[in-house]
Amino acid sequence: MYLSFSTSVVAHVARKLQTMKLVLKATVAFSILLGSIWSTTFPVFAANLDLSAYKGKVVLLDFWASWCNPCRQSFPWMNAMAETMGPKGLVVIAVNVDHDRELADEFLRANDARFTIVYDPNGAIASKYQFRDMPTSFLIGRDGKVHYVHNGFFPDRESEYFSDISRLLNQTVQ
Amino acid sequence: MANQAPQLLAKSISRAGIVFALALACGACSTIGPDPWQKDLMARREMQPNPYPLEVAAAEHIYFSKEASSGGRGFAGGGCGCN
Amino acid sequence: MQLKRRRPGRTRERLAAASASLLAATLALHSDPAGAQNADSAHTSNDFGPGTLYSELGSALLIYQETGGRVMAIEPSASLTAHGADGEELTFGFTLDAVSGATPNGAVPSDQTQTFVTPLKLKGSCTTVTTASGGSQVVCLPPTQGQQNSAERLYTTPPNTLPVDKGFRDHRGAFDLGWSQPLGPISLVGFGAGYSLERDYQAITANGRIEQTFNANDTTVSLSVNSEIDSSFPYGGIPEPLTAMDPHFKDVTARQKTQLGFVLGLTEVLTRRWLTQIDYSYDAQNGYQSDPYRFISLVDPVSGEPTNYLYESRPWNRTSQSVFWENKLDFDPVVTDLSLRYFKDNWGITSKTAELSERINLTQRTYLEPSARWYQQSAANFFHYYLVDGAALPAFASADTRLNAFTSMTYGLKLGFRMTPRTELDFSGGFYRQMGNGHPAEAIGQLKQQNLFGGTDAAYVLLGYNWDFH
Repeated sequence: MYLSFSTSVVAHVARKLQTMKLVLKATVAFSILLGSIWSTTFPVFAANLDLSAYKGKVVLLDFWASWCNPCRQSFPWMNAMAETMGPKGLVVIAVNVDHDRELADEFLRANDARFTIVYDPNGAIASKYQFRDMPTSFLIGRDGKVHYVHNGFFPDRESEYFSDISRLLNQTVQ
Repeated sequence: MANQAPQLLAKSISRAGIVFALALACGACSTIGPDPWQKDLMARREMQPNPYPLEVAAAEHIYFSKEASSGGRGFAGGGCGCN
Repeated sequence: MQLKRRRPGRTRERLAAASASLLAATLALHSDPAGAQNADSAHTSNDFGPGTLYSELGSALLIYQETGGRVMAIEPSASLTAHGADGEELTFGFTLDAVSGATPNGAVPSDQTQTFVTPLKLKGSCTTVTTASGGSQVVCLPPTQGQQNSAERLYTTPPNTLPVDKGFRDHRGAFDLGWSQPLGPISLVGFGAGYSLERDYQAITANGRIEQTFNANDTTVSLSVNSEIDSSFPYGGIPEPLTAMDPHFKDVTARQKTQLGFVLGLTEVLTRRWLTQIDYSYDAQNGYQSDPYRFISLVDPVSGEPTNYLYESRPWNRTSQSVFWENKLDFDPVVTDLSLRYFKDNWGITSKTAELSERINLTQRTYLEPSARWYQQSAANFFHYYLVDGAALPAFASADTRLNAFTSMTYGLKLGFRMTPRTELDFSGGFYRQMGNGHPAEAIGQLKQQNLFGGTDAAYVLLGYNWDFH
């Protein structure tokens, strides 16, 4: 009698577990659905970076933030690149990932930026590019593809960064 | 039906276990933790593992002089992950 | 005297010494990059941190006072850390300690006056009874074989008072040196050494560590190994364990202790706001671990009156393990720090610690940080309030309150001012309350009426000053 009682309890628990798993799967699916509806309905949460305008040029796409110290060192160098390599076809775009716009503006007041700044407070653009260091620069060639990724910024590697840019500028688009 | 119940339970537990193990394994490979562009708060001094080492050392010295246990703390990691 | 003798070798802070040539080397590490001296923002000191070349000067001053005329300590410390652009770090630091005041000598109170003696060496011959510091007396001893001009320092304890030795005054100096840097694929390797010296104790430490960061800089595993060689050379020599109080100089003048341990750590940034860290430590100490000045009373089995005082004895080997878990949560403007530690050793001591602090950023430049710490430990298995005369002596025995069971609560408040983006001044104050059992059930005779707990409360003030510079 004890055996039959325990097996019926076990069967009851097994049914409950099956139901629970189903409910869990449904909840996950629903949340994904809701999330995707939300992000497409409210474009302010989905920033867009359209680089098609720069096709045929070399783009230095840099991700920076006010709280990132090496970024402070990279700005003078990016200014130099924009000035000297700009006429040769280099476009410098710096994407800011600060949550607080005020902090980014403060950084810009202290660090002169003579290139395009794009704001990406929710990290939507950053997520598309996926990187693991701050700052990270993507060097996009005239063909519109990413050729080089610079993880972090090191002043003693500026010549390396420069030769990567030169190499891409010298390539011609087919 | 009553005879199959224990096997059903075993199956569901093992399935749940596999899912759980996979989730854990997947979680272990790079989905735990914020993205590099979300480390603004981790860059702050107060969020470093040991922002005031001399003050902590002085306090630990007091405790060490009065208590039998000591140490145990580590100071690695954290930070904004820049460079 | 605990506060001066035991340096916190287990804490892995990076302290080192400043010397003229090393300071020059530090300054030589710096160039003066053109872009670095720009206007600083009010609430972030962003010129400093990973990727930049800078130095940090830290300093602290601790003033500690126990209640009831007990130990008073003044401890200034300073450190200089030079950061290289590629993650290298060179650290120098030093700590000084000046300790004075009364400390319990391990004996239990009695309803009669008690007298204690300690060895004393005089320069000339001993002539008359004189008064030494702390209310003790110098009493001449008859010359014995090999010991001329010997005297003893004698002090008394009034009835119904915890026996304390008021004559202690000591100074300690310590310095540390450390270097760490990334090495190839390894995130960080580091090593360090330290030295500490006081009148009757010396400690030499060495440590090494290795860290690996992965998972987009969100996870760090670390292993640090530390070792120490200590030398105890007490005034009057090392007494034989559990022998009677004796003012003569002992034959053994010094004893050593070695220590080896490691800490395994895992640090994880769980969310944008939550940093967690878990550490496992293992420690093994071998050698002389007794307090050469501390007694344990031998009391009459019926009346509880002291019949003699024996020098304490602690085991030669001590191994311990602890698990430490810390969480830091940043919910602007409040940053919460919660940590827990569990400790267990082979002396029978287990302890639990919980610390909580809440840093409230009042303005961009100031913060207030209240904190509380709860601590509880069990007694060592060789801890005894006293020993009973006539009963067989145990292998080891100590009446040191540090090895007794007790609970403590520490309450603190810190006020921080970031005076400029590069400098910060901190004021902390706190109170340490120690609560233990002064009336154990097994107390006999007159001891039933005495408070046998030797712990005490203490207040402290801690000043800190940090300066970042290029």
